Amino acid sequence: MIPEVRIFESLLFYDWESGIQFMHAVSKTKNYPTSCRLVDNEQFQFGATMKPAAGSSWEAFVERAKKFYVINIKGYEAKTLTACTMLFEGPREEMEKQHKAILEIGKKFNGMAGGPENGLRGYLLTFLIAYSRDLALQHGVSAESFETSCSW
Amino acid sequence: MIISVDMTRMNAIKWVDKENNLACIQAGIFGNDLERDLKQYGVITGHEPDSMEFSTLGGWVATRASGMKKNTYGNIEDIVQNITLVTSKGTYNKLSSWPRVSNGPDLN
Repeated sequence: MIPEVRIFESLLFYDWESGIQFMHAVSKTKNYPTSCRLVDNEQFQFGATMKPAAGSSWEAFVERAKKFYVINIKGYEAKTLTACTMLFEGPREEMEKQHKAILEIGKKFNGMAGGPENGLRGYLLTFLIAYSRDLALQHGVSAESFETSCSW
Repeated sequence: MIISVDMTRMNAIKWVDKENNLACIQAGIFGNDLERDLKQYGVITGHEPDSMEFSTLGGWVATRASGMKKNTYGNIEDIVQNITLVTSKGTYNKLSSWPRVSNGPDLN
C-alpha cells in the first residue's frame, strides 16, 4: 500500500566516528528508519557543491551547524563534518514516534537535526552518483560505484 | 556461447492482487516505470536502488539488488515471491504463489 507519510530528516555530526557510533546505536534498536544513510565528509562537500542555488537552505543549514559546533562542541571542522540522511515511511503515528526516538539517539552523539529539506536533498544525492559517472565519462574518466559491507 | 537478450519490451504489469499483496510483473520493466504504473493500483514495491531510473526488475533479481528503503520493505529477495527463469537447460518456476514451501532450494 502507498505509505501514509514520508518524513525526511537529516542529522549532522562532528565527525565520521560519532556518525558511526550513532548508526551503531540505531542498529541496536530494531527500529530502523526506512532509510538511514551516513554521508562522509567528502560526499557531504560534494552535496554542498550540488546545491541548486546560492542562499539555499543548505547554506543556512551549514551556517547553523558551524554555530552549533562552535558553541556546543569542540569547534566546527569543515573537513570532518558528517551527515546522516533519513527517511521514515509508513503510518503517520508510528513514523512520528520513530522519528522522535531516532532524534533522541542522535542527541547522545551530539547530532544536530537539519530538518526535512536537507534530508530530502541528501537522499536524492544518492541518485546523482550514477549521473556523476556519466559526467566523468565525458571527460575521459571511467569510474564505477560499488557497495561494500562489513560487520561492526 | 553467451546470448544477451534485450527484455525491455517485456515491461507490463500483468496483474495486481491486493488481497494477497502480490503482483505479476514482466522482467524488463524499468524501476521508475514500475513505481509509476503501480501507483495507479495504489501500491508500491518499496524497492529503490540508486540506479532506479535505468535498472530493471529482471536486473534486480539477477544481481540480488538492495535498495535505500530495504529496512522497511526488504531486499529484492524478500520482495520477490516467484520467478520464471528461462535457461538453456529449461525453465524454472514455483508451481504456485503459495507464500512458502518447506522443501528444496529456494531460488527466489
